[in-house]
Amino acid sequence: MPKAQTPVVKRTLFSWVFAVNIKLQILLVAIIMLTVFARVVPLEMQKRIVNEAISLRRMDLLLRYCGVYLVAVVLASGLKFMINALQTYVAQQATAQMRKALYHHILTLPLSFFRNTQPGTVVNALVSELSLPGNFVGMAVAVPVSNILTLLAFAGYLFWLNPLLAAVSLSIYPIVVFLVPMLQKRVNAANKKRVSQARLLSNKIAESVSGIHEIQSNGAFGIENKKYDRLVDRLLKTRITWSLYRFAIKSSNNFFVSLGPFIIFILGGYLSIRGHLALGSLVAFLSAQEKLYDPWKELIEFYQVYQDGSVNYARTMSLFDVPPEHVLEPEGRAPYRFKGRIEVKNLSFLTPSGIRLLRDVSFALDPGSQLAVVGFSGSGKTTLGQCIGQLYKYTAGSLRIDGYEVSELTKRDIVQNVGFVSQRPFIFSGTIEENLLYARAALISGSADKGKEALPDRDDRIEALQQTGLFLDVLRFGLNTVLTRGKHDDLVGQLIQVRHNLQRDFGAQLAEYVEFYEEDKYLYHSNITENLIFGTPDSEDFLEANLPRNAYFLDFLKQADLTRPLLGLGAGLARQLVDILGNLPPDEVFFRQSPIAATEIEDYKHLVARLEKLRLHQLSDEDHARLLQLALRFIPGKHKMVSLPSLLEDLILEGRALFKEKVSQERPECVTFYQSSEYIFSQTILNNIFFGKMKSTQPHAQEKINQSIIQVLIEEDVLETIIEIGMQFDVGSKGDRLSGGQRQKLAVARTFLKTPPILIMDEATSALDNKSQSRIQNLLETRWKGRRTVISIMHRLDTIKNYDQIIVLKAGKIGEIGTYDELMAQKGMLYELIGKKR
Amino acid sequence: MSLSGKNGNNCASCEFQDNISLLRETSFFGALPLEVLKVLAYLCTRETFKAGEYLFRQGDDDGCAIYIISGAADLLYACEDRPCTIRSYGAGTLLGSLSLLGRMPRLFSLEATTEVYVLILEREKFVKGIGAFPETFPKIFQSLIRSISDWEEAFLSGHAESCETCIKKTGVSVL
Repeated sequence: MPKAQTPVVKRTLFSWVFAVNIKLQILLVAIIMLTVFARVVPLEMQKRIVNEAISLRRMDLLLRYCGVYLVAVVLASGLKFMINALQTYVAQQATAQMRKALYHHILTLPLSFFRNTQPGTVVNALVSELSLPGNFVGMAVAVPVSNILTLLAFAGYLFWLNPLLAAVSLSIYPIVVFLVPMLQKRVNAANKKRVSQARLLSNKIAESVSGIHEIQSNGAFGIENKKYDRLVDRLLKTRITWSLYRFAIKSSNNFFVSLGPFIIFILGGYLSIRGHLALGSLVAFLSAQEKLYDPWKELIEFYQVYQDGSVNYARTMSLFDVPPEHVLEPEGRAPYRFKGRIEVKNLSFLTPSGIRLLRDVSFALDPGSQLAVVGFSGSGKTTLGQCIGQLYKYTAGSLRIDGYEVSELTKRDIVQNVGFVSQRPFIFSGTIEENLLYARAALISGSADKGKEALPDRDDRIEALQQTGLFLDVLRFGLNTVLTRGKHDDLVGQLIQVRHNLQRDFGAQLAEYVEFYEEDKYLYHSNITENLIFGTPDSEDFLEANLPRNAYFLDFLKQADLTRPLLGLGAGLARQLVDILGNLPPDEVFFRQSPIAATEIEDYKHLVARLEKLRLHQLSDEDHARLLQLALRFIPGKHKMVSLPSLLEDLILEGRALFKEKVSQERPECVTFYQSSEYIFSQTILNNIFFGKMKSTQPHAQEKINQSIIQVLIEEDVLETIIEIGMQFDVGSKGDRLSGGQRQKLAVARTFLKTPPILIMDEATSALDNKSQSRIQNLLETRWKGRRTVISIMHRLDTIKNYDQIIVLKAGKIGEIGTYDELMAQKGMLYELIGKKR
Repeated sequence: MSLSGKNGNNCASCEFQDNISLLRETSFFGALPLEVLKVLAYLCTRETFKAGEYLFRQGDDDGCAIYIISGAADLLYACEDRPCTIRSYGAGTLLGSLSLLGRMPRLFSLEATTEVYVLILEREKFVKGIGAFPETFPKIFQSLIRSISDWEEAFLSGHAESCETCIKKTGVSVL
């Protein structure tokens, strides 16, 4: 169990310095000490070389001192590298730790926090804002310690050489210490001004661009120019001030530092002439003075990183300084296991801005009973569900589960006992299976006896899919999978059998929905590559992506008179698609019906721009390859932005025959031509069992064929295998490759697999078709009744009859409570609601 | 922006161009700028339903707008024990534009009475398509309001005066 510690948002920036790795920091200090020593040695050697070796003309001394000098310099450089490496390591570790700790904290923040916070703010805080504080942590020990020690060592050495000269030449530094922060303040102020003025300028530009119609129609160029110029001038002034202060820091720093040698020359020269200072000491003095500059500069930079880093750190942490509403883990006990009795007394919920979403709500539910909550939108239904699920903390009254007050329970207690399906469930990127097991896996990973609890087995998973009606969707995903050669050898044989059975039993019936592969017919639902090759590539250079650059294939196209017409088709497609899609966001929805992928649109935009200026034959080979690629992907039955000229269609059919003849003779190892006895590895399972492609993706067409497909899959005993493959379907980011209905079904299924004693469904089936809704409702009424407490928040009223209790909420208050029959007999609010619905 | 591409892009009479023309004929889409119509026309698909097949069913939220290109379909409502036919629709009708705007289970079913060829626009595509042009939102709302108001006006002048029960149920435009 994690011990109580200071929340990350309360930690100071300095607390990270030794939190990362104290041993490393100590090692760092030790290395620094060595480095400082290694830095001073060359100075002493300089002095000795001049005073002893050169003046006394001693070659042996010269070599010895130079040797020591060299060793010290090599050592200092090596150690400096080590310091930098350690410093970077510490900085990166600190940033990573801050990112982790803050992320862990953010996930536990109350939902109300996320209502008022943009996701971008959180992303920015975690990704960019913490780098600078992290850098500071990396520098926090190494930089000040090494530089101050170096400064002190040099200063000490100088005093040892000549106290008077040292005192005078070092006297400039206090002036700099006073001056730099003063100037820095001005730089900061000017910088702030610069940022806000730049923002004003951006707004102005954006305004002009979006209001360009108005500007041009009114000829208001003068007015707009004046407004814009004024802003630019203001920014200009601020930028100049900002830059001047920055240079002032640099210059004054440089100036004072270069004053050093001047003082040394004048005073040191005087002392030397008078015989109070040896020439070697003067040289050493000059070198030391020069070398003071680097540590000094680093200290100034460190000061700036400290300033910026601590500002960033404080701002970021204060943003998330919101305490979690509930304790996460129970201390000193296992999480409770509830039976599911719920008692609500005078429950109220007041938003921070003082709006009362729930008012004095009271009711009680026995374990295993079922409650429907109905009412208009905004009546507080969802809030009530969220209070019971501990997603919001109620502000007054009492809400008990098995006698325990919900606000005092830990998150773990609730997670263990309550399943919550929200209106708009969130699906995470990953596979169907990962999402299906999400709730259960989370439960197990947080459980004390992890080892004993297992994830649901295949039968349970499939049962959950069937219960929620997701089974057919997953079957479809499975059928749309392209198998990898050599991975499913057994299955492939079975699928060929499925193909024969399907053709035998349902061939005629399916012909309406499926375009079967026939050698002498154009395939309108396949692309041009498939139409030409009519087979599976067996060699890398015959893969679709490589064909436009495959010399053999290009030669074939020329021979079949296809090069020019295909380039023309590619150009037409590119123009049309860039025109339609060129300015749309790269959303999957827009590119589903396009042969150009979202990631390629920019390239094609440039290509179309070149097409405006050049003729087709003037384009480069690379552009030709791109256009050809596009044409080869063209599916007339899907890509409706251009049509397939009949002449080209005939040429392609001729080309198919020529290709087969040519390849069979010259490169038989490169392609396996379609045969009804062979599995086609480049195509989906569905296309394989059809030996063709579906003409429509609409649900009504799918419904028609589902029955026959399932029947033959069961006959060959491969249905469950296909479902398992379908469960590996990648749902995309935020589940965007699933429909709204599929997302809801998946959310219900993952909660069903968790089998919690209390289930809260917040309009959890609203996006489902009637059949799926009734299926889930039936399940709740048969399998769940009497065993698990169910609270259903309902928008539709046609399925509430069999609930044990119905609550009608109105403006956050219970308007009515009772069974369906009681409330209907009462002819009150429910009666009226149902009447209105009719 | 070009409507028909230049330099022979094979689209003198392709489906995409026809879709634009069809959408422009409807009052719901007609007022939208060409730039937006182009995207919506591109996102539409065409389907055929045979006589007896349902284009949508009462209670389902299929989230589609349907434009009948050819053929005819009946709008049905599940009365107590049997389906009642409300009315028939033929070519040139746009149905379900409201369901493009948000979740709404169908209150009626639509059954093909002959083979029906339709243009379908799904809600997800519409929402994302329109989302790329936020400046068109006011036009969409205006079209919507106009459809509702026109509908009720036609109802009032056509039926309500002669039917007392009907007139008591009117007022959708004052919602």
